[in-house]
Amino acid sequence: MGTTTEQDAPAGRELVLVADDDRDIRDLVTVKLRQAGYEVVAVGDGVEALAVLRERRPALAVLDVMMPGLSGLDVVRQARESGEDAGVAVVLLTAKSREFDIETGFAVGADDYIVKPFSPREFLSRVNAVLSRVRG
Amino acid sequence: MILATAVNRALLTLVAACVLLAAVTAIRRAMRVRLAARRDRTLEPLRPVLLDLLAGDDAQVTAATARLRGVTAREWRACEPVLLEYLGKFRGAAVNPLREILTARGAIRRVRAAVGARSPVVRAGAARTLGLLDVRGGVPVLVRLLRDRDPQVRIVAARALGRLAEPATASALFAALSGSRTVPAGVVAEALVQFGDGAAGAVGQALGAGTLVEREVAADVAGLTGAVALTGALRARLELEPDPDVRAHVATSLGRLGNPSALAGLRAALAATNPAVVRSAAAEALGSLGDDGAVPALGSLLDEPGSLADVAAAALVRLGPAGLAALRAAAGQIPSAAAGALAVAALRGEPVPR
Repeated sequence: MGTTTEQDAPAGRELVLVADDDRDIRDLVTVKLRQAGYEVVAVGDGVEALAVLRERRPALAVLDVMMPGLSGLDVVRQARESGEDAGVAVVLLTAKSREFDIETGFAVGADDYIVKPFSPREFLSRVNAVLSRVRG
Repeated sequence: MILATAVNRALLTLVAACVLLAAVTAIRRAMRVRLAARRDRTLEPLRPVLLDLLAGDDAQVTAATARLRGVTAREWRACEPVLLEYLGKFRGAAVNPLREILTARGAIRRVRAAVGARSPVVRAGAARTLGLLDVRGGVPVLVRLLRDRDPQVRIVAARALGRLAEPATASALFAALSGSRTVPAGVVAEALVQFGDGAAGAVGQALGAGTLVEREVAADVAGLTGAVALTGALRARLELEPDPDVRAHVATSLGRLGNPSALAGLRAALAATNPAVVRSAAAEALGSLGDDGAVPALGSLLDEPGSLADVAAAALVRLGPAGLAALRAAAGQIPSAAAGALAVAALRGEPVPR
């Protein structure tokens, strides 16, 4: 059991959007990201998620696929199509684990795809890896 | 007159019974809402403790464990369902402290008592919890619940066995596909996939000597678990299997495994004498196999009627340059609209979806 190591932590306080209608997952992901030094905005549905993407321009969005209002896939699709995503990295976090679901996730523009149930530590490693790639 | 009075009385009794039933229902609902609200109020100040247990550093985990060991019975009744839900949502080393506190607070003892409950909802909940808590000693109970009189309990027991992934229970899961109280094939396959290599022995046995549904599930599991050691058994099944649907599943799995030794068998399965379902699965599998040796056979399917030409065209695209060259060569002579469109795109050098 342990928190994020110093080498995992980001250089500045980058903003991460977390969108999941499951409170347990939203809370856990928020805690892990804050421990790692990220600033977090957490919302419970897709419509709010899209609004935050447009207004706050986060560095990363962690999106559940099945959410009320708009699905995570719809959020990515709309943000990418409108060009309002400003290059935001996207990690999909979902219980949908079939090959087709994963292919669809990447096809709409996700940078990573994490299947629930997930390891909180592995989640953080993957978020850090995605953001490192985006930063170049 | 007497009859009218009797009817009136009967109607009044009926109305009174309805009113009473509605009142009881309303009171029970109100009590449930009140209880839930009270539980939420009890839980709210403890939520940060539960999160510390799951996501905290070592000191936070130790403090959270001590706090939860000392909470009152009422507080624990509010916490336990949340911790069990956590076990279904998270995995890895982070959930070990959860299992430890749940065990220390008697969750396993309560679950063992609940597997014999009259209510199927309680039995199913107990079966799920045995899986979530990783109770190895609960395996015999779960195997017994595979034959429970309630179908939902059987399904939950199969999923719990998948979570525990004890190799010795793979044959029990296959057996649950047959008889009077069965578990759906998809649920059994999903559970067996979680065994990984651990199910290989039972899968090989079911593939060679199982019932029709066992052979089909075995074929799927072999492909989904990447059981390359079973390639030979799958090749033999592709040749000998009398049921077309099972043969199609076998072909799909051979494609998933990607072993080039399957090339000849899959090519043979494209023959016009085979059922359409087998030919289509074999064509798709050849695209996944990634061997250019499949190009001529797939190219010969482009003038087939129906969806077979489309599947063959998509498989050629997946094969890369050699497949695209075959599509370009055939462009203009392909009757299928979808396959023709792919060929034209390849001819123009446009990007084609893989």
